[in-house]
Amino acid sequence: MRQMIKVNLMRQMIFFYITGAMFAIGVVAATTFTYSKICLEKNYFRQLSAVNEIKRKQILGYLQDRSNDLNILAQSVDITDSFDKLKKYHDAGGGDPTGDYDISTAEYKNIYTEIDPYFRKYLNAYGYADMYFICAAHGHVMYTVLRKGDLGTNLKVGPVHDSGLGQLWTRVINEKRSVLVDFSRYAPFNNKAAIFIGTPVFNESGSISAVLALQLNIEQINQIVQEKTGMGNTGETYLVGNDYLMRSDSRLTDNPTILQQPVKTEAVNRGLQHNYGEEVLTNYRDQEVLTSYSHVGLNEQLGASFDWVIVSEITKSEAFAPIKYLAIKTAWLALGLVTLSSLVGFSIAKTIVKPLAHMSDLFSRVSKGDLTVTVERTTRQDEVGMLTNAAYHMVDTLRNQVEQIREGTNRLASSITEISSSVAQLATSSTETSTTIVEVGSTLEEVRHTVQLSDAKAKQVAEQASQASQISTAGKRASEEAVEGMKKINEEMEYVADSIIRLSEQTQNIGEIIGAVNDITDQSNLLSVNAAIEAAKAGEYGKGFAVVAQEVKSLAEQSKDATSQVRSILNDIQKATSAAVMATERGSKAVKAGMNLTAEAGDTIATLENTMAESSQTVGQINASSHQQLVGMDQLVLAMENIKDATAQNVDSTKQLENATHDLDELARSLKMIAERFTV
Amino acid sequence: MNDQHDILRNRARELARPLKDKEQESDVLKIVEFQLGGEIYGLELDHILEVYPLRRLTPMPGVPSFVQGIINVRGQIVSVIDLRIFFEMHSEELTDSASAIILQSKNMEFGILADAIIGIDTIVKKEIMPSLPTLTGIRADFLKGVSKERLVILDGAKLLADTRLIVNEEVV
Repeated sequence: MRQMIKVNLMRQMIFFYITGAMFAIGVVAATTFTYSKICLEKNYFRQLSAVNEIKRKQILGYLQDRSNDLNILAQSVDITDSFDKLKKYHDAGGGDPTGDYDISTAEYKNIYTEIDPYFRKYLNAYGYADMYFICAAHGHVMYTVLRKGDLGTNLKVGPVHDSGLGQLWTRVINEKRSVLVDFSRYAPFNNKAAIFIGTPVFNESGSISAVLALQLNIEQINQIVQEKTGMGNTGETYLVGNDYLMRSDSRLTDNPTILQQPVKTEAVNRGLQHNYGEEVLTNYRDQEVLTSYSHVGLNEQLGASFDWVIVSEITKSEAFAPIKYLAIKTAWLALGLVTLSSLVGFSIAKTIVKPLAHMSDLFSRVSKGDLTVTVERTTRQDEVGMLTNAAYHMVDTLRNQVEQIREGTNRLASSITEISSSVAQLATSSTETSTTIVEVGSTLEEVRHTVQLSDAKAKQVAEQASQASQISTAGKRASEEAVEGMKKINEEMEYVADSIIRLSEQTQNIGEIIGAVNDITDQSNLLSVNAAIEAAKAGEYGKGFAVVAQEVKSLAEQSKDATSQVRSILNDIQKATSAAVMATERGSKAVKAGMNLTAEAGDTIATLENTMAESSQTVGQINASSHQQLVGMDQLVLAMENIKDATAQNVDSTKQLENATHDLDELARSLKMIAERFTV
Repeated sequence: MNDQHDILRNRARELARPLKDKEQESDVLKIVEFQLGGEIYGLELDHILEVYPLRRLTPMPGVPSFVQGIINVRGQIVSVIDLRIFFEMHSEELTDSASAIILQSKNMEFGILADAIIGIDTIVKKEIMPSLPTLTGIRADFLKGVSKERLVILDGAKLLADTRLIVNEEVV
């Protein structure tokens, strides 16, 4: 059930609407019930206590009035006159001090007839049950209105001696004041409950001559107590004596309850202890009732020797009947409200859930990467409308972003490819650098050795410089001798030049001779041709001559070959001679230059001698510098080692970079895959 | 040594060989070979008087361009014609060995300029082929034929008979 509600928003909303409505109604109802109950209870208690108090005062007032009436009556002339008459009859022998009062005589009947109308009227006017004239001396009941069995009896010794009337007579005689006696069963009154009030009648001498008593009408008391205004159907007020028996009739039953219905309740207990208050208690019928109880105060107000408790109560069920009614009404109202709220909830839920379901479907498609969904825009102004519009914008934005991401990933992929190729190149180049640096290191090591060598050499040079200085001195002498030698060479060269020039002239002559020979050869050739022509013209006779001509021709050709050979040789000689001339001229020039140079060399060597001395010093400085260079070289080697280490680290870093680029590439691929999961 | 032996032996064999064309004297043609403008030409011996070294060539005014000048041959004045100009070919400077071939008929005598005289040769008439198609123009008119060795043989009789070579111009 719970699961069924949970998976469906519409059911949830309806469920919550119903629950909310029920909760609200429940809270309101509970509050209403509680406060209603409290108010009602308070109200009822106030009412009950008011009723109780009024009735108590009425009872007291009633009894007080009766007492006052009786006192006034006792002092009236009618009473004293009547009493005198009866006393006279009593003293005349009508009253036996140890027996009854004789009422059978005619004299008594006369007296009775004389006084009876007045008292009978009085009794009827006031509604008393009965009226008694009792003699003080013997307790003879001298007159009653109803003339029951008690008339004429002696209260001192007669049958009604123990009755309430007897008690009354005794107490009035003893206490000499008005006395109220509690209910008791009275035999002459059909053994019904009776309550008596009596007062003494005094004579002129101030002693008690008689007792005037009244039997009060129970109905009058009941009337006061049973007044049911504001008491509902089950509410009632009753009086209880200290023997826990009722002193009034219950209005809820037709049977008399006085001295019959026991009321042994907590309320009565408290009342008897002179407490008063309002409480929810159990009554004599075993019903839960709202009770107000109080003692009547007969002791204090009337000086009675007893007291009663007055109790007003109403059953709880009747008192709280409005609450029950309210509950039923509330239940109906709640049912209606719940139905209404479920309907309202259904309609509201429908307007919310339907777009939400649509959105949910849409979002599940989007979550699967389908961005081809179309979202209808809505003109709804509420949150659902905002959600729909937001979804529209979201899908739109997502679409754009996915496209941008896709482009971006493509670009990223190509960039990464470029980067990875660059990194590969970098790796290669750094590896190359590393090897180069290793080579440089070894080269540096060699250079260091070289520098060491050069250092050693510099020392040697320093030594040699001093030797060179000596040698240059020797060189100076040698150069002077060289100048002398050069002069001799110059003379010889001039002679050679002359000889060669003469040779050249002679070869020129030879050339001319060869030209002449050549000319002759050409002519011989022509001659041979002419001879051949002539021979041909001579025909058969000329044949022998033709042979001669042929021979001449071949001779001419041979001589031509010879001359051409001679000419070529001569050309060679001429070339050689002119080369020799040139060479000789150059030679003589060179010799002259040599002479000058030798002279200069002499000077230079002299300068050199000086320079060598300076050089010697300089070489000393070079020596020192070379040593410093050696030290610097060692430092350089150390630095080179550091560079080597750094380069190795560089190579490692490049490898890491390569790995990182690879990771980046994979990242770009996965990104691309993620992007490609969306269909736009 | 062997080479010398071979040469001598060949020469002896040449000399020992009987002349094939002895009985056919009329079947062969004796020519003078000469060089002119880089080409070798041949000219029948019958029309040639002699060859003479080209010395002291005296240019003549008022003659066609192909007449190079005149020379003195043992007291006789002979005009010299440059066949290259006559044949409308490219003319070059004269060499030292330049000669004049003197042609002679009954009516005509003049010299032809040659860069060099090569010698006398004998050609079998049958082996002479007609003119080559490449030789065109005025040259083709004076051509006798082409030998087996691609030697261009000029017709001396036609040269001597050609009227274009006769210079008869009056200076006004």
